[in-house]
Amino acid sequence: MSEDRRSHLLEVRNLKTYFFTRRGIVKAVDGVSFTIERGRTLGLVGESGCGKSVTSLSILRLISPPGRIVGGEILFDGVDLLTLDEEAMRRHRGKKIAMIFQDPMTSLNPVYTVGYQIAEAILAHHDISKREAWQRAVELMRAVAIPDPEQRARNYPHELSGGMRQRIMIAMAISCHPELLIADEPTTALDVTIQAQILELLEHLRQTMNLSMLLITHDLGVVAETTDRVAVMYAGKLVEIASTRDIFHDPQHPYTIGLLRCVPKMTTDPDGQRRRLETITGSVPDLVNLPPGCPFAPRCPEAHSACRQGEIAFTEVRPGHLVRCVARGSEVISHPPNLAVGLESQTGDGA
Amino acid sequence: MRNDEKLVEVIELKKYFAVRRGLFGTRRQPVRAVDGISFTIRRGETFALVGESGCGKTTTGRCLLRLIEPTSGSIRFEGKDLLSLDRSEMRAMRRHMQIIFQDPYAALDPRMTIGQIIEEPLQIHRWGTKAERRERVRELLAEVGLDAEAIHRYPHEFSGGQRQRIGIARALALNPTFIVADEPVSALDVSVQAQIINLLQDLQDQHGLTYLFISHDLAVVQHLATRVGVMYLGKFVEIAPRSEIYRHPQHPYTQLLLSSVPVPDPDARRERELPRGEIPTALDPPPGCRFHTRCPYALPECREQEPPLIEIEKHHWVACHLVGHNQH
Repeated sequence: MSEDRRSHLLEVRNLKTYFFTRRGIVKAVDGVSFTIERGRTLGLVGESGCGKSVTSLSILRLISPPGRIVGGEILFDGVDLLTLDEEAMRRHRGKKIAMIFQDPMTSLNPVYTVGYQIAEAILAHHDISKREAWQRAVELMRAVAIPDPEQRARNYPHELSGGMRQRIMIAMAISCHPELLIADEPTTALDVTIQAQILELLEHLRQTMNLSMLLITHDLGVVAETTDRVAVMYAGKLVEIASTRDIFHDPQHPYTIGLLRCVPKMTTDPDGQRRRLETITGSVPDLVNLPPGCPFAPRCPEAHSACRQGEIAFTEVRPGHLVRCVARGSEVISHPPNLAVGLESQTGDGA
Repeated sequence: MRNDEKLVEVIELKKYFAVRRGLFGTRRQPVRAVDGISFTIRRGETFALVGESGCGKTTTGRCLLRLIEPTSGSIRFEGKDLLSLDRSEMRAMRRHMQIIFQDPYAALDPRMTIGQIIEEPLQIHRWGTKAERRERVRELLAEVGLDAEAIHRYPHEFSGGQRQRIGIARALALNPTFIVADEPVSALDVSVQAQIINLLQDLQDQHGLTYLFISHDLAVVQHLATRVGVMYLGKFVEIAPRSEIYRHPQHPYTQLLLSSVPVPDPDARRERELPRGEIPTALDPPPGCRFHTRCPYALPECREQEPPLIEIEKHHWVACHLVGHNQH
């Protein structure tokens, strides 16, 4: 890829995370490669079940049985996280890589005050007194714009609104000055005016703390407003990666094109006409025993027989704009698995 | 072109829920979920209720079908006062008024086949013979775009979008005139959401349906609605035809809501007035204009006097002390 390697904070190479279920092997993440530069935000978009959350949990190595990371590398600042022992990994989690989730209520402990929980997170990685940790917790709450933080720190999670709880989660996430923040649908459960506040806060933190961010979302509006690059995922595979501007103005993969077309767009100048929305026919495939080739082929208006004959390689349609589509000139590799351009193949022998 | 006949007329509708507070639940305090709203829905239109969580839009929808009993007010459907009907009269009335829910899975009995689920309302209303009902179920499945073989299958075998189609088929079974659609596409992926939105439009065109469309998604509402009512803490702040709401929003809350929606265009100009503060609770709504605590233009009178909903232009109603005073 064309970017300077040293600027990469995170480089995921050919990641494979499979779930070994009674029904068969679910290839939730199947050969995913991308990079995130320092201080930049990558959006990972796709519909439910496409593997975007499993990708983020894999980066933190939080996959539990029947799931397993069966192949690939996750290079964080040059170190492959998949080779670390559990103790070294724990030092990365929270301290260097932090994560926030869609529903803060499930991640907060209902029986402790929010101040206590932030202080705990600080104490886990710093050798300071409890009093100091509490002071820092209050400061962090101020940093995430919680009004009256001294009082609020003594509240329990249920006493706070959804937006405030998400701010608490963010305060906890930034408590150890992480370099990478993974945000998995951070505003999906929030009302739109509160969402605007939280997105603004994340952008402010990204700038002031020089954070890199992996933002996982299904909301294309949120992606357009907050990311520098976008990776589009479908059925466990990336189908397109490009700058945010290219994704929205010149999408290449038929799935990306379809996704952008079927979203109702709000305008300030609606006419009197009602139009039909464009749709993508059919629904997302079952990930068990997925046939070879492009997973989108059964729904794709541009599909032909070559799409089903083997793995589709990425092709670079312009510098930094990668797409995986036969109709855009991608090669079909009948003998897998060299999936990512310019990368050595990493075979995980899985089952 | 459109018939201006009133199908539903709501006058001063209120719904208070009693909430027990205090250590032993001894203090009772009402939540004023819907606090005196009036509006009409015309035959054949899609009236959209929008607002954030807790604004009372879902409660309003349920009150209209008397799925929950209003505290006071009146609801007229085709001229009949629904609140004066007894239980069996109301049940008969529900042939004409149906509801589609957000989560189609929770709304479908997992132990019943799709055929039984769709047939159930027909049985309750003693519609036709068994053979006729089976035929009607097949007809409905085709209408919502499902295969006839779905009849013998169970809800868990279907995807979210297909389940919503099943919910729609059941709602249509008795040929209703009015459907309350409560966030019907909010739980669906965007590619499937578009399919369901198109289906709802097609069904409206074919059957002349009238919709009360409840949603927090302003882009979806712009796509579907004829008129839009914006609610905040149990009250309307603005009601207007769709193009008016999106082109000339008058109430500061409507403006805030519209400017908060992220636009799927990286080059879009963002001149966002960042909303202040949090949404207050309906347990203890602010006095005067309920929005004054977050309003960038609030005047002293906004803290004391509740602004009435007034018609500032034909069909465009706004409840704001500043509107009409040319102050913004």
